Amino acid sequence: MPRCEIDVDACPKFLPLVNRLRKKKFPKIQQDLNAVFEEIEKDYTTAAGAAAIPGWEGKVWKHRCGSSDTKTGRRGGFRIISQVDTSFEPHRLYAMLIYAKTEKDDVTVIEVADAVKALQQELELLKRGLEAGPLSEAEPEADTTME
Amino acid sequence: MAAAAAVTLDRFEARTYDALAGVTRVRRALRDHGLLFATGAFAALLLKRFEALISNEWLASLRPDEAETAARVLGPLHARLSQVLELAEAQGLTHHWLHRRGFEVYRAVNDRVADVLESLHLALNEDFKPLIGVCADELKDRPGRRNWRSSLAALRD
Repeated sequence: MPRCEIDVDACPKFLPLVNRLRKKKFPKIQQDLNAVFEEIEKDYTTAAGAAAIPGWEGKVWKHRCGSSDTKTGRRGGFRIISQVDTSFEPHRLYAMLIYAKTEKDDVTVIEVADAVKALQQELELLKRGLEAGPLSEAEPEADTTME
Repeated sequence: MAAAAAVTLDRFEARTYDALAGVTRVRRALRDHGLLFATGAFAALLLKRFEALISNEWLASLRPDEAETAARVLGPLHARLSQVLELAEAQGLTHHWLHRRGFEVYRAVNDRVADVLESLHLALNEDFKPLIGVCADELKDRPGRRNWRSSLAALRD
């Protein structure tokens, strides 16, 4: 059972994306992520519909997270894309990207392409500092648990 | 590694088509009110055998051309399984004591197939690769690691 430590701060895109989702349509996203990260920490290779993404030597993973706002279970909700560093013990999982999934059950190439396009647009908006305001707004307050 | 993946891909294709044939027979039994129990149990067995092959190790080892083949082969199985689950749900069979366990297997395998298929489509998406590349580069300059719980809790308007 490969345990991992989760890092949501290393990739500067992850928390701003979470914050945008929270403001737009998913006010309970933090609770949802708390629950799913607890599971992923125990075994990132099987928890939350874990699937390695081909082409990255088993370092890039996708997990699914249900949404209590839309109550769609895990087939809807969010997808979390992470990179795993196995040189640490326990392994370290860097959450990099997150996007909302449509409520349809079917997985098609078009649907995935649309989700990636939407994610690109979100990142572009974040980059320009539109709507969400400056990126720093979405960054968490400094805390004392730095390791 | 590549040779092992190629062999596994052959087996993967064979087992996927076996599973697809089994699920198609179940669809016929549902439509024609045929012998669902025996057909359904056999299809569940084929699906379990198939599921054992689609491990994350196998998924991670796929080359782009293999990922394309895998996505092409998996698509029809996912569509057929979803169709069978819908049909069974409409006929109230998914909660029937005789068939419930079989349909639980179908649902679990379909969830796994959907996860794998999504992963394959992401891997083959030309816009997705650069996004991951940029994020991976950003990780190189990563700051000190905070506790994820407090980082999430600190998000604010």
